[in-house]
Amino acid sequence: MRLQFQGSGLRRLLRYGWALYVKDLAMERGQLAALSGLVILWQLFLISGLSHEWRMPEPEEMLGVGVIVPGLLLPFWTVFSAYNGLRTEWAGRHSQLLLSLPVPRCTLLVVKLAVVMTGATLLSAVTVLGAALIFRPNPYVVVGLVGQEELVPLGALLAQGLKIYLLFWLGLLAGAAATQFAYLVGRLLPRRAWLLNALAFIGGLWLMLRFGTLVGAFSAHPDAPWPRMTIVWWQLANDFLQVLHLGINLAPIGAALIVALGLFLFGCWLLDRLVDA
Amino acid sequence: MIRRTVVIAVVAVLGAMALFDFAFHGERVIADFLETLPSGSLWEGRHIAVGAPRAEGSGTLVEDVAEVNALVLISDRGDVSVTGVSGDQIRVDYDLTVYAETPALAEEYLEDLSVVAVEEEGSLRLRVRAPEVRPPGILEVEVDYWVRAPRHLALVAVTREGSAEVSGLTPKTTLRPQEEIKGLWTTAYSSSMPTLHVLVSVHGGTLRVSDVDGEMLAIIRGQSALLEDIHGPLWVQSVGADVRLSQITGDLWAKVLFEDLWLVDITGEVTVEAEMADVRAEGIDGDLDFRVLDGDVSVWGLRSGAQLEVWSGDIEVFLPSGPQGFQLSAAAEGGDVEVRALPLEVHSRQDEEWVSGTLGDGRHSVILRTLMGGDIILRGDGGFVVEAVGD
Repeated sequence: MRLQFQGSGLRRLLRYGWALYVKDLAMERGQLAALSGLVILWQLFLISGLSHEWRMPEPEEMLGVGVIVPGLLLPFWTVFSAYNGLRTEWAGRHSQLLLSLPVPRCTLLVVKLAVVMTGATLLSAVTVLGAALIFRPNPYVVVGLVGQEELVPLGALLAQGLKIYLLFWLGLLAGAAATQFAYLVGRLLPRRAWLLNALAFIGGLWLMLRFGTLVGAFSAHPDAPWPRMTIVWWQLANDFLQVLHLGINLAPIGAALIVALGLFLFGCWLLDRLVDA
Repeated sequence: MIRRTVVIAVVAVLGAMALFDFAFHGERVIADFLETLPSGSLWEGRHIAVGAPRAEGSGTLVEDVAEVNALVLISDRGDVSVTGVSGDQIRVDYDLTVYAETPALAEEYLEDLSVVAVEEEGSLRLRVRAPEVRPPGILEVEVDYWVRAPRHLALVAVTREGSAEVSGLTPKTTLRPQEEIKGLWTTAYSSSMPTLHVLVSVHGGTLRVSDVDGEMLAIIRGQSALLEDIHGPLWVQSVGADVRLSQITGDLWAKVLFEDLWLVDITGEVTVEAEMADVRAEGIDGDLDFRVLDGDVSVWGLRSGAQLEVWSGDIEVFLPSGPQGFQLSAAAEGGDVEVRALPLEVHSRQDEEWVSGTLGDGRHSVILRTLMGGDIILRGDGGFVVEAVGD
């Protein structure tokens, strides 16, 4: 694909970014298709007779393994994909072309991040939708609320699931940003870059966690004026339906994301000033 | 070139700090972050969906209670607030809420409800007067009470779904062992139920108690509890609540499951049985007897005898300097014993470490024991002028 643009300013930036996004996503297409296939195969394996030795005859039981195992692998894939997305550009010497285009070099990082998060979102969707179609579980059995269909609307249940997934997704985003930062720092060394990669990655994650903890400690009081998310959950106790309103303090999450943004911007600066194409 | 070197150096230092932190604190680095996320929780709802139709009303009840010794308020759902005042009159303000499948049903049923006070065997009992049969479609009735009662009344305040606040009581008589009290009493502390002046029980909410004279039992199954300025023996039983007890004049028995217990300024003996809970004590004058499973114990400014046994958790004891002293014996099975600023020597054999010795005049016996890998840390704040004798 030729990356050649006319026009100026924001339009050129958006066209360049979009073209690169489409190109990168197309390159990831094979990998995403293979991983999606593996997830579906895994779920089909669970529902097939082959997995009977594991004694999971109920679809609701299979749902846990069918979703959680791919879900646990997703953070690893995100880190790998964020790292590999940049590595391939330098390994294939495409970076010289990409960094010489008349747009801010940071565009490359934004696009790469968008591609990684698109992939992570697609894999999540395939995992959940695949499980829903293959296992066909009763969601009320899954959450232990059989018979409460009228009192607990399915939409409300799904909304809480989406909130939890949003927090998970933000964690993936922060991890991907730390990975990009680690890769770019590693580019500063001609050899033994892996050591600096590892230090930068661990240091970046650590900074997010510790800064988030610090901010969390100062914003722990329930009446503190910080943004909050409420996750509602239900449970049956002694035949009564109880509702839990669990407040989530968004201040530490915001603080960790600010650090992730800082790492990302630092990565942009490195790419602009210090990293060789 | 210089900028590259600076960046590399900064990243290397950052990475090294992270590695050290992970090496020394392990999973705590992640756990500390996760623990800052929950910001209050509220259990509510008994057969109530979010946004269920409701109807609300309120009222006031005033009664002369010169002949009454106790107030009994047992609520299925709603908050309870009881404040002791002078005089012989009780004033009850209440909010009634009816949850139903339709607004019309809720409004109709609300018309049939009222709060009444009934005198029974020397006790005044508050209850909701309602039709004997609850019509179909009525989901739940909630009553919030604000009671101003003579301070000399004994009290039973129970909410099976809600929070409670109690303050300013100096009961003159004990509670009769009514059936509902027997049902709440457990044999966690002793086989026989004590004679109580105040019994408070909450489920799902918070509990605040202050300025109470008399023997008291608090049962908490909820979010948090703060009991302070209690003059008399106190029994506390909690599940899933952060509990803070302070300025207690009298012996204390506490049984805690989940969440943490914080004890501050207690003059009597303290007996604690805790599971999956951290226990922190400071300013305790009486002897301590703690048995903790899956939790840490820290005691600041120990000035009495102590017998602390912890399974799968650490013990940290801060021994003050001064004329009082301790006959000390501490053993960690599978863990470490660490002594800071104290004239004691740590011994070890196989997977056990221990210290023993006398500090000061040795008047208080202190026996510490961790099992299943917990550590013991003994700390002195300035040390003892008297050398350790015996070992």
